[in-house]
Amino acid sequence: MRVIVAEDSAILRQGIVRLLTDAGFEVPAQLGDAERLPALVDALRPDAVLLDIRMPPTHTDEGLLAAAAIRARHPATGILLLSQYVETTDTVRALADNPRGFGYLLKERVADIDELTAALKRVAAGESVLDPQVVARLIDTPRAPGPLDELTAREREVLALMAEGRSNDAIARHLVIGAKTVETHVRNIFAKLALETDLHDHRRVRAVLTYLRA
Amino acid sequence: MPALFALGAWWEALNMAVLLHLVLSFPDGRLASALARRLTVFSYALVAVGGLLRTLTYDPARVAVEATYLSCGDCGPNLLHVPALSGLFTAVDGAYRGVGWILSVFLVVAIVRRWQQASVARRRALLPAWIAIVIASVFLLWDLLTLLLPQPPAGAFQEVVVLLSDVAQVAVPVAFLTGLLRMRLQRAEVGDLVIDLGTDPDEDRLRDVLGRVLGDPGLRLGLWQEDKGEYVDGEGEILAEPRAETLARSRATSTARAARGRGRTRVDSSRGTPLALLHHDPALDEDPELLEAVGAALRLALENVSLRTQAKEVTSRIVRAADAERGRLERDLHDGAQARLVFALMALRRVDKGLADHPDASLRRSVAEAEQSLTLALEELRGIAHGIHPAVLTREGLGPALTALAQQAALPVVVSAEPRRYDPVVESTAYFTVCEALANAAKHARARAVSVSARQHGSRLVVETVDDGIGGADTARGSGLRGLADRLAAVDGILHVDSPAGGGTRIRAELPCG
Repeated sequence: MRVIVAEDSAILRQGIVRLLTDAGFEVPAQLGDAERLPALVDALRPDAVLLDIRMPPTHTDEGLLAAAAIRARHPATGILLLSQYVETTDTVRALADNPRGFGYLLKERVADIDELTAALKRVAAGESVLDPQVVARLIDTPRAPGPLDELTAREREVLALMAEGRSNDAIARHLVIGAKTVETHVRNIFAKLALETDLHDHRRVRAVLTYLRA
Repeated sequence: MPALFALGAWWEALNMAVLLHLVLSFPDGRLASALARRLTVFSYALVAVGGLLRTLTYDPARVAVEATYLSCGDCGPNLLHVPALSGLFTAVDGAYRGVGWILSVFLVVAIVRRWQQASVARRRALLPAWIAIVIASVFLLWDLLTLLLPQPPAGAFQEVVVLLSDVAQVAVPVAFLTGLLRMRLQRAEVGDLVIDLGTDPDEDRLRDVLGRVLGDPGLRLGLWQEDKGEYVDGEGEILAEPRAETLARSRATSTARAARGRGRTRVDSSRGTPLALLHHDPALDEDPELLEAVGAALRLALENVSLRTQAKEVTSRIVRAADAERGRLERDLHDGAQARLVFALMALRRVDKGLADHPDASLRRSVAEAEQSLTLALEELRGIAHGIHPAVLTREGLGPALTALAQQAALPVVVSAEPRRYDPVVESTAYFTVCEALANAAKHARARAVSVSARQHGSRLVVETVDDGIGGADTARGSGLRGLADRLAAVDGILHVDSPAGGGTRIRAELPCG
């Protein structure tokens, strides 16, 4: 699998590249800014791009803009954004609007090579990835009493994992429960939140995130 | 009694000398010219010497009608009378009076000249005094004429004239006093000038008010333009400075710092830098005190305006600099410390992997502890960096930043914000205002819900935070709210806190925006 790495901290970039190559990934290009990124993607056609949101010159949203440019031209290329903050605003909105092949992780997750490689594989395969901490904040946002309060603790766990972009199988593995049980939980959640039940993949992520952001 | 009578006869004309002194030294109490000084000294000497000589020859019993002032047949005896000199009385009296009349003519000439030279404002103020002097002079002239007539008029008519003449002379000092009072009042009007100018006078208003107080409708006011190095008036024309050689520093200017040339008055700041230049009626040079008073009021007004502008600029600059510094600090944390911590975590995970089959379990536990510690450090760092300056504010603006803030709040917060970008300082000030208001609502107000709104009204951004708590918040007590008010003031904003006990709290910040 081929991944381009864009991260402005040289030490971190080298660390990430080493981890990825050790894990059997191919890194055809690595760079410290976002300016040349879309052109590199055009030329190298990687399976996924790992990039920091904040990069030179202004250190604000260079990564976000580059990601949007890449997605417009290569919808099949997976995008995994790294952020040092738990930001649930425009990033989440972008994800919620079109979560196919799009991921958003807190920066320190790159230290866990298993988590990083799994996320890259998922976005490359068109799935969605949302950092658990971002999901936690969305679910824990103080709000007026409503249907969310009717969920059981287990159902909340399942809801969070759905929001992270995980499939039923992944949720079953994560919680160490049977696939049938997961399906039951999902059905109950959708009924309580009055969401459509026959949604799959990124459409399910979108529905859940839209609900949580409302 | 005879001693008193003699003394009265001797100093009978002293009032005339005092009157002359008064007229010549009016209104500032100084005898400006050498001629005036000589005239004054001479008139006192004349009364002292001439009056004594005449008294020596004066026998009240003998002298009857011809000496108007001394005709007092029943008075006396005159203690100073030397009977041997009685025969000289008519001659001495005539000479004494004659010299007195000549002095009077000098006095009238001096008065007319001063009137011609006086400024409009001063003429106006001194009008009563001039009228009184003219009337008194007319009576004195009449007196002189009657003396020269071969057959002096007598009877009731002459008595009335003499009485009126005396009244006119008494009226002169009173009129002078009135004049002085009016001049004082004119200067007091300069005090009103400060009130009239208000706190933030514009140039036209300044000029109009100054022109009115100085009684000079043609007054021109030039304000010093640092970049041009010239005095420029309201029409954009450059006003010529007074020439160096004509600049005169008057008595009070060492403190008042107003330098004058003919028809020109320059007003400098208290530090000695140029402030303004007045082109006025040259006749006003006659009244330096008035010009100085007006100059002082003008300086006060201009320095007030300039200090306020400076203070505003400085505080706004400080706030901007502090904001920029926070942004830089936050980026340094992101680019430096955070990257290194993540890298360390990365290395530690590799070590952990390598130790998977290691027989020493305590080693693996140590690595796990180090990992945990690093993760916590990263989280704390994130919190600190976010508190210093939220990146989302810079990147996405006030609305998204407030939404993010609401998600982290301890209580339900409804945010309604227009999707607009403002000046960074305005955005950060508005953001920190809401932070403080939310903290207040959660910590002190025992609120159940908060609503936050940010919208533009005209040229102002209005940010309002309303909670349903117990109220009673006070800018005077809470240091947080106090700091907010200061910060808002620094960027020309206003903070309103409406927090009746038991009625919730409404914190409203208004900020100028474009």
